[in-house]
Amino acid sequence: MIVSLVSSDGKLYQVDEAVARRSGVIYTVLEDIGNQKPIPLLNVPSHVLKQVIEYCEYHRTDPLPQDAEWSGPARAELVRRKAVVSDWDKKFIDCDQTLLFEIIQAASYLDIKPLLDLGCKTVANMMTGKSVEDIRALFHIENDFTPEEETAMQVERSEFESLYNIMIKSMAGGVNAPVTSLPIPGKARRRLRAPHY
Amino acid sequence: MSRSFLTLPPEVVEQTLCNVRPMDVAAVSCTCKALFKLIYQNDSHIWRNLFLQLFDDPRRSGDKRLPYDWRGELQRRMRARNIILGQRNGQSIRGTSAHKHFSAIETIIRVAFSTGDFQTQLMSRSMDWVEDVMKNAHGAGYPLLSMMGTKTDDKLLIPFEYPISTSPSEPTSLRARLCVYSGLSYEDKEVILASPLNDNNLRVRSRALVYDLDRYNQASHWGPLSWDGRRTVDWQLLLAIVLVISLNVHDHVSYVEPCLHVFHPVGFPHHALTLPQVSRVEIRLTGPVSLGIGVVWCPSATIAPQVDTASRSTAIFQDADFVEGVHVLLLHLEFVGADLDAPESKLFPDRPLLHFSGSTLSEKGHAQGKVSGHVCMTPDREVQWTLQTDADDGPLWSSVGIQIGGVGSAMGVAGIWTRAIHGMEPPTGPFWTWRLD
Repeated sequence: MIVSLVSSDGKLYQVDEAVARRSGVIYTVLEDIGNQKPIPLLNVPSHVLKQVIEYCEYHRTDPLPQDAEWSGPARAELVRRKAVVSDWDKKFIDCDQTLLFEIIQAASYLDIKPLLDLGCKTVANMMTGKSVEDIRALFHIENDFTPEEETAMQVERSEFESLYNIMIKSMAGGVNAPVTSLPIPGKARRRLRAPHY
Repeated sequence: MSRSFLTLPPEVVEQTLCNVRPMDVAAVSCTCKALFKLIYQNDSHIWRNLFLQLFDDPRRSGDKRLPYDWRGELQRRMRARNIILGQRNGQSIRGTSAHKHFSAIETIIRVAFSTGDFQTQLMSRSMDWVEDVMKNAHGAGYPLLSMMGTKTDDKLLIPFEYPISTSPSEPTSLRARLCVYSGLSYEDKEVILASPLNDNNLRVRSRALVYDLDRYNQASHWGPLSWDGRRTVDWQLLLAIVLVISLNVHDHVSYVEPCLHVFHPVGFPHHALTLPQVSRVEIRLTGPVSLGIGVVWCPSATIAPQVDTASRSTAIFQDADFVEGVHVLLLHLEFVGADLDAPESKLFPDRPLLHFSGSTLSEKGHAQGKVSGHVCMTPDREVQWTLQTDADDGPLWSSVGIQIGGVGSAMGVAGIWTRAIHGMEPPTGPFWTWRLD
């Protein structure tokens, strides 16, 4: 079954239903009204929609959050996949910043959770270890603080520096890696072997 | 339409920040007012996420405070960590006010106690965090020693004042308490064993405290309790007990193999005082309870050391030939009943005084002597165990100990045994029991 999607600039895209259903919004529309008419996506321009469709094509066989099978082993698999960004995903999301934000916005609008996660993680990684100035420059953010306000905030910040150092250690498996996937350090192994508590 | 980070919907920005490490979140919050507002004045979604990346979920360890102050608690814990580790970065203890240092240690103890369910959770993020703080304190790898203050090459600062003061200062007590929980690390042990047997040696000091027989009287209930009769825990003495026994276990390692985890580096094994699903009393009621009890003691009165009370000299313990005897015995205890009318039960009505009885067992499991006793709460919310061991012709030993950590803690109970008929001459010694399963 083919579904027709129309981008905000009026371009028509025809995709397999399985691909279109990656989007929670389109999934609902198809459930409610079916695929008789083209579905207008008012917030997604064609150059973004093209990307989003490419992502959905590639991930067409992944379990959907809406599916019943999303519980049990399939869910564990999803969680595992979530922790590790695949090479394909990395390459896919490696684009210029404007497009990246457009994809994130579209993923949010169309309710494509894995793509939204991927985008958010990518942006999060861009900020990692950057100074305030770096982040401002990176995202073209204008500093609208007074000098006094800036000094006051430095105190707050210093408290997080040490936190950051542990995070690097404990998050060695990647951002948000589940604890179980981390290598068990010696001390923890000893704790596992310790007599019953 | 051009998109940038700030034009993303707030919920998307929030989701992004949940993936950002806490320090970077702090940096992002400093970039502009809009982001500052989003991060600091928004609901606790971001903070909860950051918190749970580092710590166990407090809601699972019985903390029912809702809404939980994720941001406040995360900042408090980071502040505590910085104060403790601040000493490493060249700042002396004086650089931080005593009050701040005090509350930092308090916070770390609280984190150690807020770890999750000890039966289902083998790994604890909170515990890893505490261990990390303790290990990095002073950067010397001697968590226990470094918690006590400064350490120079030939002098280990003692975690307790000696002669012990009748009213130890709160921070001293708290430091000792943290040390009791953390146990002796391998590095600690090495340092202590390698350092000269002089007045500053931790082992000498610990023995001097433990074998100061004047310490044990009616007011202190013949146990590691305060001198003033209030029945609160004397953490300095308890630490000395733990140290004396740990080092003895080291000396007799092959003999006391099951007790090896005394050396669990930075112990803290599951200190949460919570019980999974069932109430505290129910667990206690489901007997029989088996306890393996390792007793370290001086086997005969002839070498039972006694501190020269007049001079408070530690000379006897500085003799390299001074040894303690180690005796391990098994204990089997069964719950007898709760005594709801006991004065101790009035303190915390949900934790009444419980009686138990049992027997000491031979290695083959045959009952030897009779044991009876009770468990109750101290006014400072610790768990006090009182045991009496009987011989054929009447009561022989009386033991009073404090449970270290939670109900599920492998750290067990540490305390002092004395003659059951008080007023008689020594021996007296420390004991430490472990739960076996």
